[in-house]
Amino acid sequence: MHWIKRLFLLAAGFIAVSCGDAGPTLRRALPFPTPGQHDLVVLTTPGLLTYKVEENNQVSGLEHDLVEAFALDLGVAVKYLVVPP
Amino acid sequence: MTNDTAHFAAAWLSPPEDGKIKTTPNIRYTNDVIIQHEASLPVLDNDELSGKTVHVVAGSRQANTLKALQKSIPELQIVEVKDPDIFKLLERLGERRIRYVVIDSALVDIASQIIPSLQATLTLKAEQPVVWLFGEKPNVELEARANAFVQRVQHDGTLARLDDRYFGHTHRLNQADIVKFLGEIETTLPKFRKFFHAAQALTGIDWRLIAAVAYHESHWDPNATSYTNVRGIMMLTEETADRLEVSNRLDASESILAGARYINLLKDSLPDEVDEPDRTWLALAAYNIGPGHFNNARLLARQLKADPNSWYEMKRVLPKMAQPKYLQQLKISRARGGEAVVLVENIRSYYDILLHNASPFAPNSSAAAGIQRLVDEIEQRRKAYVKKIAAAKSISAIEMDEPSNNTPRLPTIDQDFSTNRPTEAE
Repeated sequence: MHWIKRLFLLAAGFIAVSCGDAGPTLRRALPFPTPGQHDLVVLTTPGLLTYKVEENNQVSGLEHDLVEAFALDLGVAVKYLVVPP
Repeated sequence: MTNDTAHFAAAWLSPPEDGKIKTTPNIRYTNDVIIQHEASLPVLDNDELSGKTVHVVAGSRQANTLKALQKSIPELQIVEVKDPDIFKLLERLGERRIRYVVIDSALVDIASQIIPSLQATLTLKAEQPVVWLFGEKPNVELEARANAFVQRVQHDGTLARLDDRYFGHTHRLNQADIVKFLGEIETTLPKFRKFFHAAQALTGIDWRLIAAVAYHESHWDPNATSYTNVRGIMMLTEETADRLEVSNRLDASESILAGARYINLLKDSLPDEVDEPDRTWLALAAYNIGPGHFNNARLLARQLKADPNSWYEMKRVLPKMAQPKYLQQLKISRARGGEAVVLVENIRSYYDILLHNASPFAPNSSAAAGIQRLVDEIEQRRKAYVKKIAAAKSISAIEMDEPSNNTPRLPTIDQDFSTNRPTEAE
């Protein structure tokens, strides 16, 4: 019977971990971007063609500008996650 | 992406070869190219890379291209540089501290404009598409919207407009122009730098843009004069100089501040809905052909169903100002609109070069106070000139009002009205 108890405890522990802030595999998918509620979240890299913060703190970049045009189309704001290549 | 932290990646990426990750349709096509110093022996074939050391930004698509190539050329040495600023790497190449760099072909013209001694020598791989990458299981609705968007922007001109913003001007200057300009930045610009700083303090326009305009107009020659009597470092017409209350167009300090004020006036005259940077480029076109001709060009744009608020579209309309067909249609006078386009595109290139070669003007408090004193001094001169002109005008007005023997007078009560009335013969 001890092994059944151990198995039960192990399963309970697994369920408890799963209900908390679990790893990325169990994270909920990002919601569809909607005006005023959910931003469009875009992953990009720094660079002239992608995402460049200018001296006046304005952002430029071909990818950035195209994403902004798409966001305007959707009527939503954009949140950029800028990571090294 | 696999962690659902972003809706998609937009990072100038090509589709992964495994095909598991979903992507938009192809947005653009690009290449990876070898860049060398012009004085080095060009590499013309992939096999020639054997035994060579090639620098590349770590983690970039170009790094992956080189790694794939290394499988067939094991003697190829790859150095991955962690700093993502490709221009730092290209500066080292320009100084001949390294010999080969791989960059995206889209950057070649921009790189050559900043460092004219560079040349693209070898394309490493066939054209590769640029796409947005979704995860393996993207939001279906978002994927559909993004795909439709990509297809639309390829046909409605959005993509062409964006490309023009970044690359539309980069091929205008030739290598000799750029080398000369870089030399003038070292030798001539320092003489006028404080006046450009003063102009920025007065108008808020980046001093490097004002300097770029001045270079295009006069090559920073304060005594420059054209056959049409346009004069000074900012090449102001007499009429414009009067309007801007400039006492001496050949005085660089006055001309530079006046030219900057004029650019701001032209920018302010455009409708509110004109965004930057188009507002600046349109204002500079008006600087060249004059506000009257420029407004005619905007009228023509409307007739041609082009957007008069877009520089990309006005670039195509302005040259038509010299074609009789359109002049008759609008009943307007001929203007060299094509020249205005060249002016603006050249200024954009000079400005780009200055952005890389001259620091922004962000003075500490004592330097700012010094520049403000200079602005005040030049403005005082202008105001003194305005007063002098006003005084001169009032004197001439008094002289006009003073009666002379020949001036007809109003009849008095004692005089016969009819006899004092001047006749046409008089």
